[in-house]
Amino acid sequence: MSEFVWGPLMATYLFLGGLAGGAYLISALVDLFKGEDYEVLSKSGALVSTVAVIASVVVLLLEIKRFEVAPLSFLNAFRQFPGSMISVGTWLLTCLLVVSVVTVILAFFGGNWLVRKIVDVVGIVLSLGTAAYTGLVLSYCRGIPFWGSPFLPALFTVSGILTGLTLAMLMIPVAAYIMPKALNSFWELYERKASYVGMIGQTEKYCQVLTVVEIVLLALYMGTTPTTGILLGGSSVSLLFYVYIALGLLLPLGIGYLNSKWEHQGKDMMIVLSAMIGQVMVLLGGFILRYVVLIGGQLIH
Amino acid sequence: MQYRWKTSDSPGVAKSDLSLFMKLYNMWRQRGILRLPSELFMKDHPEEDFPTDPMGRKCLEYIAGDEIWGFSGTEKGQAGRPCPDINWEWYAEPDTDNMKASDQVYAEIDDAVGLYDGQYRAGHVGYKSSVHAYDDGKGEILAKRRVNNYRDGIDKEYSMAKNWAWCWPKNQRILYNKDDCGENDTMNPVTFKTADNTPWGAPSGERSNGWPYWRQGSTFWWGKERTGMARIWAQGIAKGGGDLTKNYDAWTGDKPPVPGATFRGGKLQGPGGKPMVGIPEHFEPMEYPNTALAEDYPCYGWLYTNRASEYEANDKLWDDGLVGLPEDGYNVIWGSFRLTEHFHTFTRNMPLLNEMQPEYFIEMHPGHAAEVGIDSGDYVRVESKRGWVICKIRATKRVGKLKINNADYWEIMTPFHFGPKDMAKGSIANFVSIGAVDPHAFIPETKACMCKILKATDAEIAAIQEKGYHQGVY
Amino acid sequence: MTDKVSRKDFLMAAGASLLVAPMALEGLDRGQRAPVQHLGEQRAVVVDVTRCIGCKACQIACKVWNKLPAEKTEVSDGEFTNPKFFSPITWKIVRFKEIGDYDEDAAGTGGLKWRMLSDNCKHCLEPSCVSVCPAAALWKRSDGPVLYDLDRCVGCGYCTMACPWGVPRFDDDLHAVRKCTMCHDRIDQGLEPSCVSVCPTDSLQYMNLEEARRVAVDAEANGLYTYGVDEVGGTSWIYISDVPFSEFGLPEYSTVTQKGFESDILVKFAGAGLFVGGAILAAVKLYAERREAIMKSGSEGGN
Ligand code: SF4
Ligand code: SF4
Repeated sequence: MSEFVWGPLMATYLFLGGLAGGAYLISALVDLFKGEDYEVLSKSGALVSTVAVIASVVVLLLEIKRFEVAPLSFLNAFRQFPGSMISVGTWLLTCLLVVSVVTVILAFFGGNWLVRKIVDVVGIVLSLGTAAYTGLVLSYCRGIPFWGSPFLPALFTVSGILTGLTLAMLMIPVAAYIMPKALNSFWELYERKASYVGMIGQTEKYCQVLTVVEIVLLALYMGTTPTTGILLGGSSVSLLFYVYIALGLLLPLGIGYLNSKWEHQGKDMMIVLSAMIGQVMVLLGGFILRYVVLIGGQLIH
Repeated sequence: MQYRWKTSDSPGVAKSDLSLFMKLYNMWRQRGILRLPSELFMKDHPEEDFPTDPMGRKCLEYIAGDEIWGFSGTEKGQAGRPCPDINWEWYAEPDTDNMKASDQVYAEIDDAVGLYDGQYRAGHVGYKSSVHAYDDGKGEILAKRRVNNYRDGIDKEYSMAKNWAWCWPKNQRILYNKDDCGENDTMNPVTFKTADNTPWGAPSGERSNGWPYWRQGSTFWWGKERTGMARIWAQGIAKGGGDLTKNYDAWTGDKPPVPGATFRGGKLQGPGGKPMVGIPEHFEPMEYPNTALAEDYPCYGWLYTNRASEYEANDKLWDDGLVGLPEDGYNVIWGSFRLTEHFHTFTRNMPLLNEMQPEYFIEMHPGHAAEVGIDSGDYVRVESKRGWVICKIRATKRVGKLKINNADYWEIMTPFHFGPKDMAKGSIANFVSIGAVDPHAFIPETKACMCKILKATDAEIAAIQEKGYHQGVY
Repeated sequence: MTDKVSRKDFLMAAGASLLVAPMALEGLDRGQRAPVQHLGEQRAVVVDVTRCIGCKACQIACKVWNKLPAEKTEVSDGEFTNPKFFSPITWKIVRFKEIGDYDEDAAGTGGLKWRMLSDNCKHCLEPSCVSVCPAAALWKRSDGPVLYDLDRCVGCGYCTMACPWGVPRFDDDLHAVRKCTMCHDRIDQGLEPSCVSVCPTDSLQYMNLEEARRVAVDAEANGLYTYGVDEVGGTSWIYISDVPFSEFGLPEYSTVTQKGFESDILVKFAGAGLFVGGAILAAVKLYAERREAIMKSGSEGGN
């Protein structure tokens, strides 16, 4: 094929979908288990999730372009609910959007404690489903053997959670700078450098665990899928794949290690900056992973 | 479908009223509102209604005055194929028992042509039947046969698996024939012998079926008339019979075979020179790959003519320096053929056909391509003494190396349908081919010649990519 | 001024509107609402590669009946296959393949094989495309064809990926997919598919599925290869060849249907998920314990 049916926009969609799921998952987990200390992270996660779901849907519509011909045709995607993975995904995304919006409202404007917890639990299921969906939707494609591995959805899920957590963390200082008034709590947290750095230290531990798991899953995926050669060498995406491994996996691990060293030396600003670099790299890596898998699979087709 | 010129273009984006009706027609047909008579027939008639042919198979035939059209719809073995104008009363199996092996071969092929023409040719001499819808021996449609073995020695000789589909004889070029004029050799189509095994050329062995034949003491082959058969043979397979070799003295007696004939590269000399050694049983084309062979078997064109114009035409080719010699590097055998997808040069405006064969190309063996240093889809310059063309190559194993006189020669093949105009553009194959005329059949040798293959230069590639063709004559 | 509209004009207008009426019908939604439409017994087409002479009549017949325009192509390799890929306007391709070389066999017959395979949508018995379509824009007719409704397509392109042979292709103007319809509009009229009806050598034959499977079994008994009898749960187009189908680029598939394939992946993924989730939790727990232990020892050490 000369051109790809699913191009960069679809990769963005998968990336944002996984990210939204991951961000909401973090938000809900933090809300359920960490409580007050991490309230800001929870809010940030819900916000990120909301924006990412909306963005992913917009990106998807842009990719499939069908709205140019039949504006409302996307509604048809709700029809085959349990049968078709895309239909499942459409429902998941829609519900996740609703849940995220509700969570944001509850988090920012206050709400019933019980309602919040229930929404969290429902959201956890939805967000895990969404993150898994972004991989399952590919691995169900029989015509593309490169995707047909159960480790692909696992990889995408873990990567989704990782990127969701990362973006939720990254958004705290960024959003605080952009909208210090509206997101007062963000600003406050960020101003109390010590507590923000402490949060970085905490989350980075999780990030490192997730990254290691991602590396293991990547190895498993590459080991079980038939046409691994596409990524390893010779094709136009193999370079990107190595970029993903270097920048998206190894560099953040290294930064995390450095940060854990610096934590005891009180280099707060250094930690914040290097953590931000690592976070950007993780996000970049997450996108490149989607792109590389998506295009690599279609290359042999 | 026919291509027609239109008198004028419609203004703007307007379409002709015909397009509206075409749209309606198609829609009705698609919806089943409108049906072709053949389709109606298929739907309305149970299987038993089908008439049968002499073999007992169901077939639809066109009967003049009947409303049924000659399409056989969905009947197996007849699917969609027109069976026009077959009157089974005329049909009789060829009397192969009394035929010579060579006759059998051509009887079959000729019948295939008859089938292709779709008509009974009443004037045809030599065979009782003409329209072969089926192979009478096997009881099968010729086009359906899928046997890729040689049936007998003849098939093997000519490398033709005749039980594979069918051959389209008039499109067949026989570049080389074996030197098979032995006494007992009944395989040579022109080794004519009568029933009592006296050679055909003997005075008693007069034949009158229109084939070219040799008469003792004659200086030329006799032909009753120039039938299609005679032409085919005369072009490619003209040979002497076994006994003719012995009787060659008579031929070189007082009458020289060709007035003033000389062969520049070979041994055939004119009347003043030494007499030729033995009658050639095989004739090399005017452009030959192997000099030694050409010296023994000079071009027919030099040998014989009763029409000065042909001879002069050939002579002029030589004098103008338009004949390439292997010594000068023209050592790739060039042959042209037709594509199933195109009809002559007429169909290059038909998008669906152009889609399947969009441009001019030559076919080369991958090994040959590697020698030239190119790959499928790259451009080459094909050059003869007469002209050159730039075109793409298709690397394929269907062409290859020929062993001629114990030397190897690459062969390339090319379709000839293309030209610089119209939708499917391409260089003109005949810029390369040779116009030497066969003095007996009066047709040019444009199906085979010798050429050189060079890698196209960047400038040439740029030119052909811009224009769609690039060619020239010397 | 009534006579301005003459009777002739009136009749012409009436006639014209009668003519145009069927065109208006084109816009009506004739779509099928369920994934399976019951219409009679399953029919099949047997494609016998050993009989094909590569005349491409089927390829043209497909374009002619379905009124598909020509594509712009070029000569790019040694084979006569053109166009090379399925596209929204190319539903049928005769794939040419040279196998072997003359040199391999001194007799000059067996060495080089030139085979052609008339390829198109296989009209699977349990189609992947139907199974994955989120909009029910594709559906299976019980008598064979796998059809689609352009109006319903959401343009996601999922079927182009899910089809084991990459058959549905994207139309860049409609942003929807198109593919072979097995000439359902001909079948409805009691005719064979267009390609079958023109094949001069009976390389394509239209018959009942059971009959087709019997033919395939016979062929297998004769040492021929078959394809489509039980690949991906069976297809309506059954191929017979004397060379392996991998030569034509048809991948090997197990008998597992799309649904089976999906549930297989899902089960394995769930297993992997549980395992990975457990591993993460265990890692986190271990880490926390260790951290606490370090903290404790650190504080106890009076550092
Ligand atoms: S071959 Fe592909 S497009 Fe055709 S029915 Fe099967 S899955 Fe669907
Ligand atoms: S019409 Fe029949 S013989 Fe011709 S290419 Fe198609 S399958 Fe082969």
